[in-house]
Amino acid sequence: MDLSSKLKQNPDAMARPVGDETVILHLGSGTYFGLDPVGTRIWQLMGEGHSLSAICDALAAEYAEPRETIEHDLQKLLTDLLDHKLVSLEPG
Amino acid sequence: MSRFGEYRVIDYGTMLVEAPRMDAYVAALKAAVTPGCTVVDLGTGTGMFAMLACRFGAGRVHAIEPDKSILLARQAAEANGFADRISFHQAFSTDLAFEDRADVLISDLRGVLPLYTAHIPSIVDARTRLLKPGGIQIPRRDRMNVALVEMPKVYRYYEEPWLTNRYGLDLTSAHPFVVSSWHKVEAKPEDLLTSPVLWAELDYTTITGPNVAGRASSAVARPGTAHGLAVWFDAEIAPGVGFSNAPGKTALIYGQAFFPLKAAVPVEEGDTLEVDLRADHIEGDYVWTWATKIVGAGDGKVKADFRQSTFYAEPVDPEKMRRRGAGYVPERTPGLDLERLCLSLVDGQRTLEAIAGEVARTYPARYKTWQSALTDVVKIIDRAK
Repeated sequence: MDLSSKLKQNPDAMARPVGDETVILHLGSGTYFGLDPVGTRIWQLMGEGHSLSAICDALAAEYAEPRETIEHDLQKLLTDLLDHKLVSLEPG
Repeated sequence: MSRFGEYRVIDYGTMLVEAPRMDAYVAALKAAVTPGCTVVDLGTGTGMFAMLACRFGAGRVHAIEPDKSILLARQAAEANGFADRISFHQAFSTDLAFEDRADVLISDLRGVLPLYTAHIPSIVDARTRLLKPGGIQIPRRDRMNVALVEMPKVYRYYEEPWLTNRYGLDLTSAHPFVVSSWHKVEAKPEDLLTSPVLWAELDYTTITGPNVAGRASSAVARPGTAHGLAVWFDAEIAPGVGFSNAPGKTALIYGQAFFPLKAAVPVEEGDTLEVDLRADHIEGDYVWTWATKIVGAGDGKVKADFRQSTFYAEPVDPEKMRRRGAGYVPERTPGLDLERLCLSLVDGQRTLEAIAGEVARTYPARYKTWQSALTDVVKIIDRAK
């Protein structure tokens, strides 16, 4: 995972908050996806244009988790979002 | 027609009385029908097109309609002496197959706009499976147009009582939902702030999917206050034969669709409008998304840059949304087990009584007799059809 990369939310991905979670509808495929509160925070940081490294920094500060755990969880979510074409990677 | 909804019998009657629409359809049907030909009437409603096809010489008509209005169509066919040539099918056309393909396919499955529930998928399927290659389709195409409009009487209800009301209550939390939905209006030519421009064209002879997206640009023609976008369609029923739903034309049942702006925007002559409008067919109906940008003529300042969608139109039940996520694992419940049993017993041999009897035996605490299970059994089977 290149931490200098940024993520661009796909314009086909319509997101709306549901409590402290987020539901995303991919208009092209008609499929719904859910993000838990941490995933919601990551989605929000992506939307603000932060690099993966900056997202890791923010999460490490907010959740007091080891950096390795943060990067591992972020990688997992990123793979999911890319697989379902909800985001695309932009080089840093 | 109800706001988005199914057609009532009186709506069918209204459509039959509206001359611009009926004249175009009748002319197209008369030109298309040859002696003894086969016609598929998709969404026959009360059977008008099916009967006219017979009058014009069709040898066989398949009249398809899932709604119970088809029962009236049967009666009308009897009363007019056409019952021997019309086969009525109370079903979805996608569930039907016929021995021979038709020479003519006629339909009007539109709502306010042609992008309405199963219209496009039904047309694609019928053209592919039920119509002969090279067969005649009525209508041929619809062209959808868009214009920026000033409609204060309509827009009032997007602002009141949500942003202001006589009771001093804060209802602003509902406003985002309210401006995320569109509804039918009857616009007048003087409501237009821009000339209409083509947004999208649907050619029913070649269309392959139900989703439509397009960009339209225009210039503001007069000063005013922009309240929303009006979208309507012009129909080409047959070459050189059609009708229009443009403001100023004879009002038909379709009207125009009004997509509100998030906020009213003062505009001047020469301001530019750019609209990205898309309709995505999801779970049987459309999610509409409209992005509107208005730029001032003089200073190039962005006066409006809104992105709105019917995805945001309804308050959300968090649990319901969670259950739609691709990663959600549905829970096994007694209700699902009951439905599974009921549907597994439908084998084309068992009567409803036999099925209800088996259900009652399996769930004795819930159903004392087969009669008490029968209503639920009928509902479950009807829902699954």
